[in-house]
Amino acid sequence: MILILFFFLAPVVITAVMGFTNMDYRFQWDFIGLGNFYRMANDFLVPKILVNTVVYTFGTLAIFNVTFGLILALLTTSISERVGLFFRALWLLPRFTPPVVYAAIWLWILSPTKNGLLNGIRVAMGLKPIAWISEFPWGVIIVTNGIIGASMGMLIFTSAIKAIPRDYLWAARVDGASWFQEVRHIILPLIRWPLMFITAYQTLSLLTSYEYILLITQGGPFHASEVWSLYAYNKAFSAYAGTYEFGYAAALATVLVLIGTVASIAYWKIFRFREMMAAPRIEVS
Amino acid sequence: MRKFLIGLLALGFAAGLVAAQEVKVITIKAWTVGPDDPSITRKLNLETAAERLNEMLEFVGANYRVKLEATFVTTSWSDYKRSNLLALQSGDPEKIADIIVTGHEDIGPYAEAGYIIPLDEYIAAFPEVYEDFFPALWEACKYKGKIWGIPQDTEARMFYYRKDLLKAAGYSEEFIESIPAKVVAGEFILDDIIALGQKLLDAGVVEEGMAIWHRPTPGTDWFQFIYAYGGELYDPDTGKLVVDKSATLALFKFIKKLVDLGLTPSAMSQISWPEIHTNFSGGKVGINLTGGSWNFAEWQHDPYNKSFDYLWENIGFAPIPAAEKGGKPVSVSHPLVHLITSTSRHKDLAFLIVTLASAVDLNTRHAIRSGHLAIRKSQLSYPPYYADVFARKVSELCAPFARFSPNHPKAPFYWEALFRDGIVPVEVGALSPEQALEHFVKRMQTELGDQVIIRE
Amino acid sequence: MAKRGFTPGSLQRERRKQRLLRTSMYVFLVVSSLPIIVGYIWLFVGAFTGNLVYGFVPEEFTLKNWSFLWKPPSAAWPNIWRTFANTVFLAAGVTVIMVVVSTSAAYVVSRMYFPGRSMILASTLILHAFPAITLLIALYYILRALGLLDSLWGVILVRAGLMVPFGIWVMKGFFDDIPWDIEMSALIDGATRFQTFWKVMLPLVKPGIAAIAVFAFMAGWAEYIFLVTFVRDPNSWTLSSYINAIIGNYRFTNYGLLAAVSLFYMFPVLLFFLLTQKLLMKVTVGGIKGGR
Repeated sequence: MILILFFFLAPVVITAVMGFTNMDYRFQWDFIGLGNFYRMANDFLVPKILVNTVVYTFGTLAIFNVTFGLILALLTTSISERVGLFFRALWLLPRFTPPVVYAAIWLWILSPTKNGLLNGIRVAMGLKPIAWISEFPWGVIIVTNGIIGASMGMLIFTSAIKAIPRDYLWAARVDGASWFQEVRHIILPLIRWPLMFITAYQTLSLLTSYEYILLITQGGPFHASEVWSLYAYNKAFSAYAGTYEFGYAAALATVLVLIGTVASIAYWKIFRFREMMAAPRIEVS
Repeated sequence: MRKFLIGLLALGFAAGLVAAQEVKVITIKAWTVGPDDPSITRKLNLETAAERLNEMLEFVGANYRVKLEATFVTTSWSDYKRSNLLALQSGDPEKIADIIVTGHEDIGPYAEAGYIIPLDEYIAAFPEVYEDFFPALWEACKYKGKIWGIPQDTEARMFYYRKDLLKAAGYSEEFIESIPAKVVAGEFILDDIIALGQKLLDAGVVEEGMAIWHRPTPGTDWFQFIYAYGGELYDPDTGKLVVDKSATLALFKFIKKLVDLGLTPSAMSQISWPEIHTNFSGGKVGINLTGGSWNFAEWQHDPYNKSFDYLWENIGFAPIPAAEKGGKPVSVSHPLVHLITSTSRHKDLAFLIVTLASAVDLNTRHAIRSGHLAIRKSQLSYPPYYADVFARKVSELCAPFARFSPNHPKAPFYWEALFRDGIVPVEVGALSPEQALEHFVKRMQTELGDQVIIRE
Repeated sequence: MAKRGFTPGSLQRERRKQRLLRTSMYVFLVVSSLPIIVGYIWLFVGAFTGNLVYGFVPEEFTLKNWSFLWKPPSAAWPNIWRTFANTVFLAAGVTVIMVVVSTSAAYVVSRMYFPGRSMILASTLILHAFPAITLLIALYYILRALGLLDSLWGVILVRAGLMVPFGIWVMKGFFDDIPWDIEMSALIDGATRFQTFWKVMLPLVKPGIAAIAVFAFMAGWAEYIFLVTFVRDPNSWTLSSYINAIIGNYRFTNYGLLAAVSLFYMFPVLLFFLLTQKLLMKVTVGGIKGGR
């Protein structure tokens, strides 16, 4: 608890307070009230970035991090243990890979010239190369992040499925339940907690993730794939020299947390979180 | 050198008064950066300088020696600058180095925050050394009328062209060899680069969209074109950044032309560095619009592995041509500088070490090993430097036309925005040059407020 | 679920359907994994060729990219094995701290009542929405106050601290799913609360530990930004600093070396994953009977 307090809560509080200063490379705590938030409201790029952030977060979440993660977990636990493990390991590879290397692989796959994998195939089929990142900026960031993101759901769901007592499944099978019925009526209800947790947690993770976007599309072209956290990063410590606007960056991060809170409250309502959070039924101490 | 020795003697004497007999060791800390490995001479030169200083101290019988503790960062510029800045704000002399080697663009913010000291008086003490520096380099070290840094090295930016491909496209050898001289004379202008690309394409020497390539990222390189079109970036009187609308629009129109004529791919900003270098050093692309003097060394390494002779024979270069006949070419360079921190307890000694590390032999060792250019006039005739044909030719062609990115804390934002909010949208066809100009100006104004002056 | 009779015909049909289902599962897995498979073949080939494969056909086979194992590619870099040892230390430190803290905290949160419990739980989750990079400055202040700058321990604590909320949330789910009867019967048998936790509960949540341990280990293994920001000495480099040093700048990047080092980097994590999966995924079903 002390650990969390020192290395999590304290920095978060300090950062939130920083959001109300105009701190820059001089590191002075000049409080400017809501100045940063006023500036944000007048920043004409913000609406575009907000839309990108929402599409990216929920697109990646819905397609990959939850749905695909679940499918992978269900499939790899339904087939032979060895093959299942192989595919799980395969899907974890991107997460194990250093980001710069993962990005290099994608830059090769998506290259707009005929040397790229996808365009190489197109040219071999007699088609013209496509500038994938210009044409599908959202698609690119969703797929490239989703392939990494799916593995977390996959792993957590797999663990949860494995923790389901075998008796339940055997009993269902004896009753003649099909695989789909088994999934629908036994597995899904029993992994509700992880399912819900991954949804909420990954929403927040995706809101804050920018690294792969920075490496693959740099938020471009023309801010088409720029998301909120990447914008905040650019304000604080960007690639070559940075603009060192720590106060404004902290304010941007604080707004991100507000967005995260709104999303969390929505989940709270949808998933009836309160039930999950209910106090233990019996207390022995 | 005499004044220098007198200074040293005085130092030794003064120290001698403080503590008799005992030999004290004074630690001087330095932060240096590559991030490329060959630039480790930035650290080694300071170490050699400290050794030389110790020899002198021994010679004059001083009762102290210096010990240099230097770190050398090879991960990346942003890592280096981030950790420097965090340590600097602590104000703790234990955590802060005495000497910092960094890009000249840090002078603005560091001076503004009081992390470093002005060096004019120190420099005046060693005219033998510092009057030998190329005068243009001092421009990059100035902020608000004072000099805050000592140039450590520099490089040059230029455009590269494939001589073999131009020949295949029908240009005569004489013409190809005369390009640099014509650029210098103002006879070969920016639009002539387009003409070269057009001919390469028409002759079928290169494929469509492979005639003229440029870097896929923001960089000070783009400022060269603003200068070439007669624009300015900085107003020295007010210390504010300047957006020159007509020069900027001219640049955007130039980019549009490149794409419309099929010389440059509209997705240029999505091509990775290795692919760019592979294609240009392999003779698949005719012209590299935003090259740097370091590229020549880079192409000789993994994974490109071209021999120096091959490159020298097939690739030519010149500074960025003027936009109109009779104008001057331009080459933006990015000098690195030595800075002395305000928390240093031994500013004099730190400066002495920097001065000794700027010796002709040491700096030449650095320049040649790491692909950088001379900072002192006498280096040009110093045999080891003279023997390096590439460095000598670059110094001859580009050094006289050196310009810099303004020493303004927001200059990095400027070059980022110029690329991402101007060049890229024009290139991918999202905005027309006029719309891009409007958008770019609006973005500069929103972000920089009264820190930027907009000129028509 | 309606009960069906086991006539020979329906059994056969059932089998055929099963086989079709299996086959389609395999086909789906293989097809959806294609981008990963192709991408990693490219990386693998790149590690053993001299020239970058931009295009499709590699030019030559060579082992020279692997020479970093016995000789640092640059004088400025530390020995790879020292770097490797640092990485193991950092990753193991993060894993141990994170697993111990979050497992015990999750048990407390799941089984005991105290005021503000759900508040704390919810807030740790929401605060996860702070991008780590914006916390750098605040963390610098804290590490400096604690005298933990320039040490790997500071980095371990920061990393583990950021991972703990994730661990607590996952582990709480696993504890919640263990029926009270099991714990009750142990307590009635006279075991202390701690004994119950250690002997009865822990074995039942092993799959959960397997999952969070993999993520903690990976986070420690990949740690980069805090390390290079808070620790200057290259002797405390980890493998990810090594990789970033290879590409660090646009100058002199050696892509064959990059591919080779990244394979070297990935292998231990893969091994750790397979080991934890083998060891921890097999749950002793014994105690659980009946539904919730």
